[in-house]
Amino acid sequence: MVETAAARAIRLIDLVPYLHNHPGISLKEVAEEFGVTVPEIVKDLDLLFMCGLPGYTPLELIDLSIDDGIVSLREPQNLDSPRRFSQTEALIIRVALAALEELLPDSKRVKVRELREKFTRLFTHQVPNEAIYFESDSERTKLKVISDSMVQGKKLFITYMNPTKSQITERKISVTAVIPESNRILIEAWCDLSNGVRTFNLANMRSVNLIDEDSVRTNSADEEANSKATLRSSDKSRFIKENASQLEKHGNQFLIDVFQDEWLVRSALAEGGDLVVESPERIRSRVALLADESLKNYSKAD
Amino acid sequence: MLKPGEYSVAVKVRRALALNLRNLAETVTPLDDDWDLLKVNFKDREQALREILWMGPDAVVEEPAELRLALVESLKKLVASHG
Repeated sequence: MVETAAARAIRLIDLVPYLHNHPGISLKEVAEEFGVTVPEIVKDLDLLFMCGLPGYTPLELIDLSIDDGIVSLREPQNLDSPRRFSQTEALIIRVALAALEELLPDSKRVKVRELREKFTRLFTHQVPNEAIYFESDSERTKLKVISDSMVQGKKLFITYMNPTKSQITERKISVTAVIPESNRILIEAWCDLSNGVRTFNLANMRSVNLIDEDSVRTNSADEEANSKATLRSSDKSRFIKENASQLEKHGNQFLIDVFQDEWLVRSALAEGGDLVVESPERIRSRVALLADESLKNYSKAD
Repeated sequence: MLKPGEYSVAVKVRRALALNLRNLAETVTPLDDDWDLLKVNFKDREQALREILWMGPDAVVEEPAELRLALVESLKKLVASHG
């Protein structure tokens, strides 16, 4: 392979600090490290032997020797520290670090981020940090962690955006099933925080990390998941209209399957009294509690 | 997702909560460690009532006074019917 003069010059400049830091290294190892043959390295060293600072007497030249295939560098002159990365090399490293940072679990990310920040400090004048952005296929990355947790029987620590409550929570979950649907992936899991089985939308999981706690064994039949609620309402209630297909009408009462307590609680609140949850008691009392707390907000302020 | 509209409301919401209202907000002003003040344009008064009731104690209307009164009425009805 024909090598350019520039590539060889860079190798020569890199050789000096490398040899300086590896006293007594063999020619073979040097050749392997730099990806060239031993004769080429010998040629390089012969050339380096002729290099140095003006004056060009033995005092100012780089001094090295080869004995029995062992290289010794006695005098590096002013080439003893590694050259700086070129802008292109620094940029490649920064992009690679950005990718690593995105893919690593949180616990291992800190060091990579520190390194990337250091590179950014040293090389910002041409490419600002904001210009480097790496987004992995985050759903696939999360799914991989989830399947690992199922295989290893370990819990996951997740941050979850609950769209019903418009709230971000941190939870420990033990995954029981991954349910792909046409436009989303659902994760069924025992949730320590709710103390019950919950279904999570993968897209709403902001982060997913494996933790070293054995997962909770559970059959997914949850007392709450199969319960029915009794509602009383006028037909004009928006809730009754919107959920008509799921309601069983008995006189002036309606029965509905409850999949998520909080959804029914919030729906009842939003109806502002037009919809009354008669049973179960836990939902009924939570509606009362939240309404009462809300009222206090207004009486305090007035 | 809700669309911004004509019924303008100043509503206090607890920090990090009420993303539904935050997404609609024209402005968000931090009040203290716990609360932010949002200016939200709802489609109409009914939508404002529903969205704010949905948030329970995590959202408190400041203005208009007329909406505050309506909320207090609804909340009283809720307490009475579920107590």
